[in-house]
Amino acid sequence: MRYVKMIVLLCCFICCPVVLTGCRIAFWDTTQINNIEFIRAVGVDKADNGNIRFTIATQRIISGGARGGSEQKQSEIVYSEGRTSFEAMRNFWSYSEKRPFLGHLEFILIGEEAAKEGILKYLDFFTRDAEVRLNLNVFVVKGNDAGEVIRQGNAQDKFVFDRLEGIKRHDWGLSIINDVNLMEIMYILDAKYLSLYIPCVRLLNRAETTEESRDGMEIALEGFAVFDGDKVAGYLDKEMARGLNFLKNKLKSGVVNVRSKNGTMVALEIISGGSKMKPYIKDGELHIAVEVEMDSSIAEIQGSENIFSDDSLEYLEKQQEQAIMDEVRKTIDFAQEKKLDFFGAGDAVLHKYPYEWEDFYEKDWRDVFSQVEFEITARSKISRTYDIKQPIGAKDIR
Amino acid sequence: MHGNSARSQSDKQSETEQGLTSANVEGLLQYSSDIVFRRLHINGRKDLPVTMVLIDGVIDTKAVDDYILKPLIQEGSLSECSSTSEIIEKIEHGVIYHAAAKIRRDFSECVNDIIDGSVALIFDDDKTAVTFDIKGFRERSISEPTGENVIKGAKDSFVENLRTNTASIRIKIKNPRLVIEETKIGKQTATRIAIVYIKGLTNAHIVEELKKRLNKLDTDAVLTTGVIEEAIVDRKTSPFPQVITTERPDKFCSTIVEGRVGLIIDGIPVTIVVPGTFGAFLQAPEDYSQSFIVNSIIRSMRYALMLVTLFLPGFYISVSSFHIEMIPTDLALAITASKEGVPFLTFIEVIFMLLAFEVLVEAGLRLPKNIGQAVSVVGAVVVGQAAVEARLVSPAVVVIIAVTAISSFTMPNQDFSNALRLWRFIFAILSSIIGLYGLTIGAIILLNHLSSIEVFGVPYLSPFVGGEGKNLQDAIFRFPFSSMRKRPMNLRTTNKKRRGAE
Repeated sequence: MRYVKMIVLLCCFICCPVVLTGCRIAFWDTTQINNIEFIRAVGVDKADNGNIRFTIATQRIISGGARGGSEQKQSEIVYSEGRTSFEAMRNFWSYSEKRPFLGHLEFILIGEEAAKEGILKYLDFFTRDAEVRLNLNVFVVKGNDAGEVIRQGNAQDKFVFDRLEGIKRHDWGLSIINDVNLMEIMYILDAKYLSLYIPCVRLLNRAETTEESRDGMEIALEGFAVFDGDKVAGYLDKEMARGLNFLKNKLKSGVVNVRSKNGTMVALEIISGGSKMKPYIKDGELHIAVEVEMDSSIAEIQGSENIFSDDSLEYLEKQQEQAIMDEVRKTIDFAQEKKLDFFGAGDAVLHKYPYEWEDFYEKDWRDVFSQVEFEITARSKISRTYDIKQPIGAKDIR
Repeated sequence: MHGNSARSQSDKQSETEQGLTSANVEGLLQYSSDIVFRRLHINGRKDLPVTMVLIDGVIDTKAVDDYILKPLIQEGSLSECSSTSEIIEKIEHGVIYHAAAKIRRDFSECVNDIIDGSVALIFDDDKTAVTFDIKGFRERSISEPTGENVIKGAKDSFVENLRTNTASIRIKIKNPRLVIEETKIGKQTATRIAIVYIKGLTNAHIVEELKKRLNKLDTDAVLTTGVIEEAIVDRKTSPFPQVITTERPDKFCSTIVEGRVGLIIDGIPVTIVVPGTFGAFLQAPEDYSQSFIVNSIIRSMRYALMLVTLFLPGFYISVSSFHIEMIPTDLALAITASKEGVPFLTFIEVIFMLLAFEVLVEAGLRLPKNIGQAVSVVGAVVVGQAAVEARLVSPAVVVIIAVTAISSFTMPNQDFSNALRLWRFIFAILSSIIGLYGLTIGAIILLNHLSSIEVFGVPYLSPFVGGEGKNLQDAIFRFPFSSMRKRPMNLRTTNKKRRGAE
């Protein structure tokens, strides 16, 4: 009797999702894994005729036969056009041997033209589609079509998505970009007073990075693109990009070059850094105090000067404080000039003064923001001087 | 207790309807060639006849010659007797030197003794028999256990003889409260079964319930443990074992001391312990002879491997046919490459390989040992290599099934492993219908099934349920012995503490 009950229950459980959700999920409808085309990166561009043009990088492995010969990874680049993103993607189905699958899509590259026109039109499909992972990374291509980057980035042995993955993975070394995924983009576009920023890549002539004058291009990180609504409004260069990372507390590492008292160039490695935004209202005027903090270690000394004295370290600290403050100031100035609050000053005000925010600031926050006085202070410390305390060659000088 | 044997005796009684005489005994036993009747005259006196009845091969002939025949013929004091009744009295008081002499005045009792391996001296005039228990059956000596091997630990195992087995328990548990109750079950075989427990420690309800269930058992023969096992378990429709079976006296004793009740069946070198709970099936005999740290790791790994062997085929089917986005991209690509050219659905591949594995296991069991090895080699090569080359299955599936199979071999209990085998198929089928959702449903049903079983009033999932978390010192991890202060709570033993006050 108990077993009959169990079987009935089991049938109910299995039937519910089949009948109630309307999903075609039973096994006769699933696509087997070997019939799937893995889409790894999509370049989104505006076609000449106003259509949407996708450049799709897929990946597959060609197995080396039954006896287990060497397997070869391949990447293919295909184009697909349509009046809408969805149509463009579905058009790909018409000539794809296997079923295109977006579950492994990791990168969306937005071409410069498309970014200028407004990215919402291109990205909405990706946020809506059930297959797409919302944690995929979005990049804006500076100075090129996205298609061009994918074409150039895909070599015989190196694929564009692997390169992007690589440069993304060790972006902490310079902190000039930050991951921005689809979910964050959706969130920022929803918030009225926030402005969107998306990391940029650009194509770099190989001649710039290698000595051999080889053909081809490299993909390089290039700060951020800042958006007014969903249209690109300007680009942050590398310095301002790091300033933004300071402000967003997303700084991981980086290089600060300063001069010592005697003019020796010293490179400092940022160990940790961040900032606090403290809004306050004084005489009815909104001020925001930005307190930047940084911790660094000495990475390089260009000379034999002994800088490991309290005096000289203090001097270096002052110098690096000044350097960061300049960086942050530059970023804030840029934001105020464009009237784009992309680093979240509005959030800070909202949380500190919720009533005032609602009454005075929320409505025309962009104008208010451009007039706010930012007072930047910095505190820094050179905390690791490492074991080699004496500079190389210091003996002779002494 | 003697319900069945009483019934069988009354059957015999009605056949003969007569008293205890040599003629009647011969009438019942004469058809067998191994039964020996000898008419003797005590000390050569024709007025003192006696009939000796014994089963050749079952008794120790030399002992009969020396300790029974010799005194009967030569003992001078016997010749002074005037009647056989006097002789019986003398025998009772030790003229014939043997420890276990019984006076039988009942026909069927006497016949039972003879069949059990006793020598009977039947005195027709008094309708009385004296039986001597001189079993001399050449039995297998105590050898190393074959199924449950340990490196550090006792090397003895149970044998076919009940008495030897009870002896090896007595030797291990030197406690006057250790009770070994005997009963006979089986209308035709009248197999002796011993119930072993410690009075004052073991929960009396379990013992009572076990006796009740054994008495209810109406069967012809007890030649396998299955007959007994099926009769005493609570949920007969469950594939999961509800009794612990072991061939190791040390393991048997440790469960008895824990507060469980043991059953020894004559003629079977495997013993049964009730109640069998989930945790007990994942304990290997070696667990208690290792460092608790090492053992904790090994045992937790065993639990993990149980999950692997249960869920891995189903999980692979789900992930590779329904949730492709869940697999890391490189792995997904590797799977596609391995599946290139294989025409079947993943589900069919997996089921095919699972069946192939079952066939190999079964074939290996059936064949003699030396051929069995050949089968496993041929099977591995054929199923693994050839099937992949023939594009019948993808290498990824072979790996998955191999991992599943090897994990299943780590289960200490074969019956438990078999139950997992069954459920593995159920999970594979559910997964093939609706992916991970199906797998989850299956897991819930399995959990529901397991938690609904009670064995002799003890929840099957002990010690994970019903102990309020107090009994987990000996579950997934084995804590040091000093922390196992109490006996398993769910067994509701009369004597609760292992350490400290008695």
